[in-house]
Amino acid sequence: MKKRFVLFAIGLLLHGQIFSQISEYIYPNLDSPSFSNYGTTGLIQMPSARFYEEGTIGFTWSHLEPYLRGSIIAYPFNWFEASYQYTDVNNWLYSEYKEFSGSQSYKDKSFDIKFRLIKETRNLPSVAVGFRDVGGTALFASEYLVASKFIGNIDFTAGIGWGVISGNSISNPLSELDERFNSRTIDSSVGDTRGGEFNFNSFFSGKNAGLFAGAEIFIPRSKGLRLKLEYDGNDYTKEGYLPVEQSSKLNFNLTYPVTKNLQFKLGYIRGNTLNFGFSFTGRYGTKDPYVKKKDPPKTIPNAAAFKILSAQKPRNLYLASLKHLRDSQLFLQSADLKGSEYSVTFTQNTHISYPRSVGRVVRILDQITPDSVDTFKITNLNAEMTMFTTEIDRAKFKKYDQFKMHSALLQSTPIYKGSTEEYESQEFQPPTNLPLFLSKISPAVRSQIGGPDGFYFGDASIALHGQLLLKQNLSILAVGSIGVANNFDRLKLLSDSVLPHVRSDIVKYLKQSTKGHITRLQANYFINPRDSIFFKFTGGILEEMFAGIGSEFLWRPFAKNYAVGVEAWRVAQRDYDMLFSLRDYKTTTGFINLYYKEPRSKVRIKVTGGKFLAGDSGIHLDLNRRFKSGLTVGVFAAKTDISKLEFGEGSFDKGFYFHLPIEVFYSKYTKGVAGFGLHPLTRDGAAILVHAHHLYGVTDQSSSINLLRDWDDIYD
Amino acid sequence: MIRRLSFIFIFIIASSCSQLPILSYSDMPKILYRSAFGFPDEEMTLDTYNSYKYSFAKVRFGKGEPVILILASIDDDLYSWVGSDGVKLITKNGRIIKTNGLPNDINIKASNLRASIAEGQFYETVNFNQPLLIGANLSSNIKFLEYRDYLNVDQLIRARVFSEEISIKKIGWQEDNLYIFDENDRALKTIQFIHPFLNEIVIEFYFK
Repeated sequence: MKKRFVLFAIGLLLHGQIFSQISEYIYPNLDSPSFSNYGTTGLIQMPSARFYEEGTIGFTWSHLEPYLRGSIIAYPFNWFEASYQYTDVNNWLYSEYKEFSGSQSYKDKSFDIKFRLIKETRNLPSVAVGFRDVGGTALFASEYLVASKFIGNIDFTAGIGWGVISGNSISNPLSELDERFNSRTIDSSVGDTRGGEFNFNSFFSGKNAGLFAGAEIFIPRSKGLRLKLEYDGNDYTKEGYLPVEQSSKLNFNLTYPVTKNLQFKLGYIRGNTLNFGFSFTGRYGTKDPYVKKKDPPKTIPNAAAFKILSAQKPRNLYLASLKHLRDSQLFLQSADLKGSEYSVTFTQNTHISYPRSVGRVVRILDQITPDSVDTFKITNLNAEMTMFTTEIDRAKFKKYDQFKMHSALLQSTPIYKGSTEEYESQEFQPPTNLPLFLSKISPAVRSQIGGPDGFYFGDASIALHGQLLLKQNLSILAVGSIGVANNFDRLKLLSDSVLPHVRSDIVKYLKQSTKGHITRLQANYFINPRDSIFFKFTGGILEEMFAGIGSEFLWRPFAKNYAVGVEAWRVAQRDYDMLFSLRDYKTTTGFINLYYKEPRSKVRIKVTGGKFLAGDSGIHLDLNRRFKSGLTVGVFAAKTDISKLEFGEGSFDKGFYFHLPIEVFYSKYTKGVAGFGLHPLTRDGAAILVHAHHLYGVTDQSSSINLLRDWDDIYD
Repeated sequence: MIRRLSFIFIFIIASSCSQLPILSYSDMPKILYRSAFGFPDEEMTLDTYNSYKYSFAKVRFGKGEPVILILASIDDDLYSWVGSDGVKLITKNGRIIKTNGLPNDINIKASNLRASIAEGQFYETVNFNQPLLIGANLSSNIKFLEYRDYLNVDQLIRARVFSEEISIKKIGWQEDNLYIFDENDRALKTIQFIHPFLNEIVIEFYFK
């Protein structure tokens, strides 16, 4: 009887599990939330408490008169959504002065954030708090508290909103707590700064709050089609510049996921307006998120013969190592066979995962090295500076390989920062054919969006990248472009900044450099005098607008999660044609850089303090998070000793960026990175010199934290 | 109030900021093209064909890069094709009936009535994993479409083309597959949907 009961219970449990998995076929893409017309996850006009998984990057676009909105959305954490919107406001001119912006409609920039407070459970809904249009012109400013709960195939959402989302009015419940919540005053125009500040005082305030609700119904057996219904909570008299007519508070929408990543939507909003849009999301945070890698370690033909030859004399081993490592894009820099230990120093530019490159080196060496060798001492080199050394027990590497037991291998593998002298004293130093010139040609695009002269300006050019390696640690990096096509003719707005025009003369730079320009012609010299101390000496054309000389120092203790750097530069502003001539403006700029990796959140915090290009002094804060795939998502902001009025529009410098390894799209490993950066306003305050090869990046692998992060790749 | 200059910088770069040898972003157009249209389909040349010792299949999963699977074994009329990355397909008359190593594997308990390619309506059971679906009823309706000239390496073959309409009513899934056979009922090429969450799988068979 007891046995029957147990079997019955197991059967019930399995049935529940199987049923839930069948539902994934009947309602595919249940785990892919859809987006509202405001560019964040939500119903139709209203937000929801849904989030994508961390490491997701998305783009949404929607057209709902009088607004056309594009949005970039990112998920640095499972519980945090951040998005940046660009809204074309069709019923309002960019400015009242025709000579300034012609008949161009107004373009609004806004920034939205949402935090998950409670994760959905069997009994509890997902609950989130969100902020629309924070720190902008506040045309769409709202705050909300929202809950979403799946019941069967219907995702119900309900919430309370403030600001624009207060259409279905109730008295503001927070007024009971504090009188300051009674009135909502948005200080969107401080002097002449026009937005860019956070209106903390207005959050959750106003005489009224409003309720909203809706549901997303997943239609069975229809490849993920959803019907969305909502009771609109917006007060359209509070949104934008001109009130928008609302004939009905009921909104309808059909959302169809063409793929897991691409959704199209069609809606009928406010009882009088058709709405169309689409969204694209990519989950790029996990290992090999897009294309499965088909780049296995190489098997050496006739490896046994090489092993026999290598046993005869060390030079045979060195030459075999040189050849076979090179065949795998791993470049031997020195080697030394002493007893049962074979030391090898290598450099590489193929793998973003440093342990993977070590694993590949071991696999090659294991095939050609005599059996008398039991330890491979492997040192990685960059710019002739030792980055790290590992001592791999050959037998254990092979033993744990069968089940990819990387953790077990790690327990017996010392990892430390080797000395440069040790590498230099190794017996075999293959001759290098220096100087060496490396070059590559690629397309290049420069874009300007949202200025008063027009919405989009851009140029396309052919970029020539060159690097002359004079020594391993002395190189000249050059990037130049030849213009192909541009529409910069209509760009005419000049800077009105009261600060030295270190950035805001961008229109002059763009217009006068269309035929061809030099982006960079930078000489670099690197040294690693001892332990974790690194220096870089640099001179030349350092970036698009400045040339000069300078130096950078970095102390990066190998086993610590912090680093300290100092940099100083004497620079002169380049002429607008971006060739070799200089302007009169010269300045000295320099910073102390503090780096800290927060172990729990894996957020890297960089605090930069010092003197900026325009002579202002202050702090620049940069936070980013790197995911397993190599995707890095970051935000930055800076505040200096200039006033908001001196800074101008935006009040202070800020922006965000993400870098995605291009190997995500390839079946083979490669080390390039595609980057997207958004700097909403080009102002002169808090401007930093953008020189190439920052020491913190060059020494990325000289950190045990970074090596341990990817240690599970060693058997890839 | 006059609105001040407001610009967005959007830049796409692809450079290795940490390593000295340079990389550039000339790969970007290729990436975008491949993302949209997939990898170019290259014809099988006689040299490539001759370079393989054993029978093989050129397999393209969705828009992915074509991969080569080698015929590892023949057990009765079940052909096992294996790839270097561990992917394994088992085919019967060119039709995939079992997979291993795909993001969503399948296992069809194929009807014994389908000894060779023939027109008709067949009912089978299929197991999917990820997500798990056990014992679903798979309906397969095969129809002869046409005769077609088919270039197999360097030989023009008179081939027969069949369509297959497959469906699993329980989950509302339905797709159309295509099979091309030679006169000896040997599969030359197939285009198959085998799982609701997988893109089409195109297989070109090269026997030796």
